[in-house]
Amino acid sequence: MEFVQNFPFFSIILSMFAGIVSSVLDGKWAKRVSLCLVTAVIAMSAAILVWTLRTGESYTYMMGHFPAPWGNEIRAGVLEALTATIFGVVMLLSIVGGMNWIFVDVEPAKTNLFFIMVDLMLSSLLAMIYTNDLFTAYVFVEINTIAPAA
Amino acid sequence: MSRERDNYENSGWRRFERWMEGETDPLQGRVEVKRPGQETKKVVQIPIDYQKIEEAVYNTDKNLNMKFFRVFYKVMSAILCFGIIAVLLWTVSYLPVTGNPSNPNNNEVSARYIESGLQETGAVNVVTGMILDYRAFDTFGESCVLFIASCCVLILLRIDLGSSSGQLKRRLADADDRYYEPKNDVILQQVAFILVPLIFIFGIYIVLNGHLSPGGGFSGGAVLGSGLILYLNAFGFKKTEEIFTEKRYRRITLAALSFYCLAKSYSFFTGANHIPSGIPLGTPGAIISSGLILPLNICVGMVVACTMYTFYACSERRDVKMAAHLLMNVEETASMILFGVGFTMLLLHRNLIKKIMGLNIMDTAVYLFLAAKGYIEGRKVPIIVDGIQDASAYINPIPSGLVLTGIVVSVSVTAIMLSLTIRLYQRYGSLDIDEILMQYRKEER
Repeated sequence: MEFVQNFPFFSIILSMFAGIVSSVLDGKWAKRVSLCLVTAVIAMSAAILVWTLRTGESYTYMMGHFPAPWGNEIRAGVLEALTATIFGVVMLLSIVGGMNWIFVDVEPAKTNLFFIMVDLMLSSLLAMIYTNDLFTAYVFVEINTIAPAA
Repeated sequence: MSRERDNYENSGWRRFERWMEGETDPLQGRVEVKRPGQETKKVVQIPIDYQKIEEAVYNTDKNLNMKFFRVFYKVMSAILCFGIIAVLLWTVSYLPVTGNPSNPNNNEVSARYIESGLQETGAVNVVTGMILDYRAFDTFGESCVLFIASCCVLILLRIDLGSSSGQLKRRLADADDRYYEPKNDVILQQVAFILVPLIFIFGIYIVLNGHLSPGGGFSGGAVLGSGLILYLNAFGFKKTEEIFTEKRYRRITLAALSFYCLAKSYSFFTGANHIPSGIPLGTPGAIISSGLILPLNICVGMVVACTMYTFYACSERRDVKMAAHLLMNVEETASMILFGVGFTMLLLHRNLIKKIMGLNIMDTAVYLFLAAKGYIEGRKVPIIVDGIQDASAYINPIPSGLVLTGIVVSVSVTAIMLSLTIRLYQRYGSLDIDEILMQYRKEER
């Protein structure tokens, strides 16, 4: 397995980890973490896109030591990589475009909570794009409905 | 040294920057714009008597259309609910009989969890092995659902006195239960003094034995959380915050979720790249066994306990053949009726709390349905005893895992709905959806 094939897993887990870490950061640091994360996700998604275009095939990735249907599994192909890249770019534009308003509209003590929602929403979008498992999609749909509502 | 380009203002990047900053109007020059001052016609402001409008619209003695609509709505809701219950019961009548081992859901997936679970995960409790090893990614997602729900509750209900307006600050301070402290309920305090340590010990026992006996991080965490809530009720915020502050909650959640994330990332990475994880599974049945499951159970337990406490602390601060078949599937039949009852409550009640209760009844109906689907007559709970690893000895463990996930999601969603309800009540002083909508429209105008 080539290292680039790990990128879908890295994208999802990094987004979740960034959300968790932002809970103890202040708003400005949470913003920096969020921007770095989205940039990294775009870069990784673009790398997967290039790799899948070059090889012309999709692949499945075992999340752990057990194959599907016993364990979890994700699947990456051209469509998934392209969708993840577009979502990443849209997310980056949304954060950068609304940057001034975020710090006006959201109370200062709650800005980090806003970026937790952004990070976890991105993670849920990525998990829904890549997952090859209906139950995993159900769990991440929940995150995806709660985060934008918050 | 960098130099600004001569035509920087007209460059593509600058135009994009202006658009992002909201300085450029994309419709400028493309649509006809009439500025307010250019209008010749004078607009006469007529004062709106909202009291009169409310009286005319919502008083059913005067507004017969409204009276007719309310009756029509209730009748149609009842017809819809009975229709849904009938369709669901009709579906149940075609489902395979409950408890039959040859049902299609008892397939090779559940068989492997039971027959190979002990060797592959080291956990005697098959459900724990399934959710924390085979499908650990889903469980991490569930923990994140709890985490995001507690963040939502903090966003909605945390009193940020530093930045709120004067009026809001006063109103929020009035809603704060700390106003009623110190708490002097001697009976409650004495009972809590005896019970809280026992509840904590029991919670810790459930968490630590999650891989050996019924329980685990979710249930043990719920017990620990209830112990904290009892302590809070008996001794108040001031005393509770001597041991459990918001900062401490955040640190505990961060440590638990970070450990989970890093430990399982290692496991996912090694598994996907076909590298042995090197984590010993230990002796099955021993307290230190089953690899990462024990520490993961502790992490989940801590997250659940902290989240439950946060939820509470924040809100506190504010035909014949068909009939025979239906009787054979009595659990499914009951769950469908329960679902219909919940749906009826959701449709017919205008009170938001009752709507939330309706949704919870619908959730419970789904859990009952899933639990019934996992049941196989004459078999035991999926906890390996006496070394028997035959799939035909135990019930299907998969629905138990699904129910666990469902409960976590339902608790999170209920907490968010209740937080929103509290905010709506604080703003509009009512739980009636019509009243809230009326006041909202007034504000909009």
